[in-house]
Amino acid sequence: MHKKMKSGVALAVCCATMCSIVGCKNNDGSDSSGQTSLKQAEYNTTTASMPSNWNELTYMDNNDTQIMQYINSPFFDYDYKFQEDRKFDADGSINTAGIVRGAYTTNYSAATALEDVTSTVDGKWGYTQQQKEEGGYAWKITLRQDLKWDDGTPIKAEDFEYSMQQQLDPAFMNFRGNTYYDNLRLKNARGYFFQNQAGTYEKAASLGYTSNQQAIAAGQTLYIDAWGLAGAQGYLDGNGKACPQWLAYNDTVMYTDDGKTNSVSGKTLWEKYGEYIEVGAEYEHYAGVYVENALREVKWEDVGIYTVDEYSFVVCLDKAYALLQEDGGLSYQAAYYMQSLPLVKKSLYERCKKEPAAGATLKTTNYNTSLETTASWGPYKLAEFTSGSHYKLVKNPHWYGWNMELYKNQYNVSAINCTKMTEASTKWMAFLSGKLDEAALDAENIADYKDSKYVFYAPGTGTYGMQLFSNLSVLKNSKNNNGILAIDAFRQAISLGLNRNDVVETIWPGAAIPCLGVVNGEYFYDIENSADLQDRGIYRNTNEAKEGLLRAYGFTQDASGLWSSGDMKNLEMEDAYEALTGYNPTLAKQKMTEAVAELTANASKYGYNPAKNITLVYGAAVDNAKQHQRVAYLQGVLDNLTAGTALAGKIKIVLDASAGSGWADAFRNGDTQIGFGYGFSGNAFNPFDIIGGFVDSEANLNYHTYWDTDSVMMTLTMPEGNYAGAGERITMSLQNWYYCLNGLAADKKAPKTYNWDSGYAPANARLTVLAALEERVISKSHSIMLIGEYSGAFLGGKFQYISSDYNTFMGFGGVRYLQVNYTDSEWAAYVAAHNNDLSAEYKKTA
Amino acid sequence: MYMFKYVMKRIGLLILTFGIIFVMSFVLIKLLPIHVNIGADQDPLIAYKRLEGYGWIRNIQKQPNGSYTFERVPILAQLWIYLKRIFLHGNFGYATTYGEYINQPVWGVFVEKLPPTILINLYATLFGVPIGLGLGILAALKKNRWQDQVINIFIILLISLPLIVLGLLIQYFLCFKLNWFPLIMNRGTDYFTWQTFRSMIPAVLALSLGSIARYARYTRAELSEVLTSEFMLLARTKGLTKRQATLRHAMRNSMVVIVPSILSEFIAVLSGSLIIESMFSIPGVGGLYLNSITFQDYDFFMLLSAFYTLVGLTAGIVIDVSYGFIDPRIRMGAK
Repeated sequence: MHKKMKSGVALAVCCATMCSIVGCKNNDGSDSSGQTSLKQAEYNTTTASMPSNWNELTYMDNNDTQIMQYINSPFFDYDYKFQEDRKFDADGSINTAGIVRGAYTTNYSAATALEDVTSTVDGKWGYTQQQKEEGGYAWKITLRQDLKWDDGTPIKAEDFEYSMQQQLDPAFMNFRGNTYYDNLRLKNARGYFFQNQAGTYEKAASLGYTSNQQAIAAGQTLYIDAWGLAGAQGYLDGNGKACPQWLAYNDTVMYTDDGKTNSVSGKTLWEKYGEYIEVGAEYEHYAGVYVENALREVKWEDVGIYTVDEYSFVVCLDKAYALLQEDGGLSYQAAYYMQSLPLVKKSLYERCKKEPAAGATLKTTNYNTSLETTASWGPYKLAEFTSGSHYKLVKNPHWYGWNMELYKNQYNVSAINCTKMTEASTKWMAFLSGKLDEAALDAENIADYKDSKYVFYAPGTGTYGMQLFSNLSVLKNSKNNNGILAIDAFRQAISLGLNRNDVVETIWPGAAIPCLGVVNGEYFYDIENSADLQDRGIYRNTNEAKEGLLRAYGFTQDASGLWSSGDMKNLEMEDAYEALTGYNPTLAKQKMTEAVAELTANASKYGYNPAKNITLVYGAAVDNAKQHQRVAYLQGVLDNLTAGTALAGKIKIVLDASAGSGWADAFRNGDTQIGFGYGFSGNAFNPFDIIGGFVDSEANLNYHTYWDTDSVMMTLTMPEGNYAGAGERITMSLQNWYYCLNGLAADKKAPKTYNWDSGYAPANARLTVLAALEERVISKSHSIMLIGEYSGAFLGGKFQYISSDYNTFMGFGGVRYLQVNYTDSEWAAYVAAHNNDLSAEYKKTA
Repeated sequence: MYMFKYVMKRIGLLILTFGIIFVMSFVLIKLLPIHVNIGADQDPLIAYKRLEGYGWIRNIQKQPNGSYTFERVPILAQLWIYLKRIFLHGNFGYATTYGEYINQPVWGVFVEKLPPTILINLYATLFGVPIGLGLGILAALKKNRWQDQVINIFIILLISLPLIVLGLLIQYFLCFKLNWFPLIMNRGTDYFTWQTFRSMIPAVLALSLGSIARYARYTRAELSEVLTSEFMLLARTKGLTKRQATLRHAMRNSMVVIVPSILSEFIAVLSGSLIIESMFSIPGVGGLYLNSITFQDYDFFMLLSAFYTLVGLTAGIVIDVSYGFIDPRIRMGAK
């Protein structure tokens, strides 16, 4: 054969072979059916702390979710919205140009159907006729029939029921149980979970009594906290028996301290302190009625989840969700509230169960804590894991998503390598030498790289500020002479004396933006109709929110509707809002003068000793240069504010990091009085809920539970409309307003029981209440809001995001949509061509 | 026989001392206030119940103001449970609060992490001792000459540089700029491949340069002193060459101080170097002890306390006994 012809034949054979190989690459995750041969590459990242427990039932923190997010799958999943719904170009690649900015779609993923079955479920679930008509309480989820574990074991509906039973098992009390009994509110889940617990002491008022006497008259036994009220911990009775914490009010047994100088009994405490522990009194919380746990034998059959058939199950909830739109399509809530339920692989999970250790009472499990004990049903599976060192995730060939149009030509990351690196300098050098594909933008590199085309800025819902502990009864008794914190004007002066722009520049450069509200601009009050609304459905853009902030920061509105504050006179609302910075040194000074006058005129009320300095204890988890910088900054602000007053140079801020990770409790107990950078991030689609962290004195999150919001009244005239309370002028406590706003008032036995939860009241009514609550919180200045989350991060040149516009639902597309610029070998060559130093490239702005 | 008796006596004292330190460590760590970490979206009761589940607290009460109180299980009762678990079941416990090891057996984690620490430090010792001794000997023999001055400058420079700066310089120039070595240690547990060895070199260099300086300084000081001793003059007088006198007499005498320092330094390396391991991402034990206290992970802390106490006490015996082998005139335990 002619030499050239031989070459041609050989080439043809090679091409044919290659084509056949490419064509045969199926079900391996890289080129499954429908996938075009896009470039694939491994993604290299780091973690400062390795995950230890990626078990959905027990995971502790976000550190553990770094593996969880890849080995689990959602029932419903968000996606970008594409113009004319054309997601793919002719060659099968993603139509990146067609992405509609800020828009999204909600799609079926592991589920194929979702039905509202509230009206048809068994009567035993106890739904009222009204609830059946409203719907949203019971949902039937039908699963895909090709769901499998990474070893090919099929996944069926009964596996979800089994997993939930494990999640709520009272013998384990798994850490994430509250997600289902508190948040999702699965029927009878709380009772099932806590059925081994005996009881609790509750305030008489919380049981509906107006006084302790009334509770006693009603046959209740009132108990008094002898440890808290009289410090009787360690006291002994005549027989040497230790004094219990709670004593019945009529208990006559005397307990005496070591020195035989102090004696108490329940009866003496009641006689001596009865008026102080009365409902509404300052020490009310030291009295309680013992409430036995009546739910000691809850059957699993009564918990709101049951299997219907091989591929479908029903969940019955105590709370209604609008998971479907009126047209039957999935609402955003489906992929948010019902995105997934816990799923464990039964055979493996049973093997991982451990009996209680000696001296312990709860069972434990080591499921999903190592390579051997891990099962995946997500797009990736764990391939390597060495504790304290690294892990590697590779594609899971059994993932159902490879067969779905929804995920076609996505997940081009062939493996995720994560190495533990704690040193910032090592990470940075590894990034500049192409060994890592991401890096943080921080104080060390922001000056050179802030405009880099490789840096992407993402906002977040985190809203943080300064918390000031203001409980006078605690402050007065401390040795720090700092009762001034209980004076509203003092806290307001600090708030008005802080220049948020300067705070960001000095303390959080490149990691935050100034923020004045308790929620930042990332919260949507109506995401479904965002595209059609002038304010884009963002709470911060609404008139209610803007007007509330203006009032909270000292603007007043005249009869003609114009706004004024200090030198700014007669501004339209938008102009006034534009000019609002929260920084008003003149007014701050005025407030400080007021506060000093109040303190000196009523020194004994505030426990103030003019001969002593005032000490404010700044609480932090660690004692480092950053925290000292913050202390110095605040000291400067306070020195400016007090200059020329009787307190000039007398207020000292000291750093205390002794509580370590217990910093939040230390603040709540009043051991520290300044919490800087404390705040919350919450559900971006529900700003109405997060306000509870400020006005619900029973909320776990609340830093100021001593603020008795049950007795602080607020009057509002509700907007007209077709809902309960429309057009009425209503007065109730802040806490009650919050309960009504979230549909909790009836459950909480609040005096007024309006239900203005989502779907029960129009948006303008809900916004009116939320903005009014926010205004009260800011005016009170327990919480001085300063910053909103906004952080920059690098993505290395090996990959690129599908869109540089941050999308609330999709972020920048994540690993799912990462596009590969260079394969691993191409990247190695590229880096080598740059002498293993990409710093010049990463400084490029375009 | 006197040596046997001496060693047995020391072992008896070791057991007693170990027991005292062990109980003290247990009591002291348990005396620290208990940290209860409650996440932003967590039910506090579950967090408290977990602690009750570990057998640390009991009588959890929710107060009407929403906070919780509890009673600590008496420390001696906890110690009894702990000892029973170890001696009856050989179970050193599971990490309970140390973030990245939660639920993992503490013994398993410790054993898994020892090899890289030992290897890095063994290499550093193997590299550092001969060079350090060589430089020290050279400096002593060439005392006050230019060789001595150069070595002294080198010693002062290396001793003055903090380990973190030395590590950073090595990482920046040798790994990042010149690309001679990887920035961090290779992943995986194939510790004896060329790739892994190569990836350990920067850390070994960082650790050994300081040691080289220290060994050189000790050796120079000791040897200089010995070289001026009268018995060295006697050795030369009886006809030994300078080389013979130095090797046979001066070196051996100076080693009485140097060898124990090498031994103690090698034993100390078992605790790892927090800075170097962190900088070069070496999955070793450096930092485990400190973090076990920070996280108040009792089982981790107790295992590590016991291990290092035992190593330290054993090292004391080994070093004392080694004197006798280096210099037969020293007879430990003899009357």
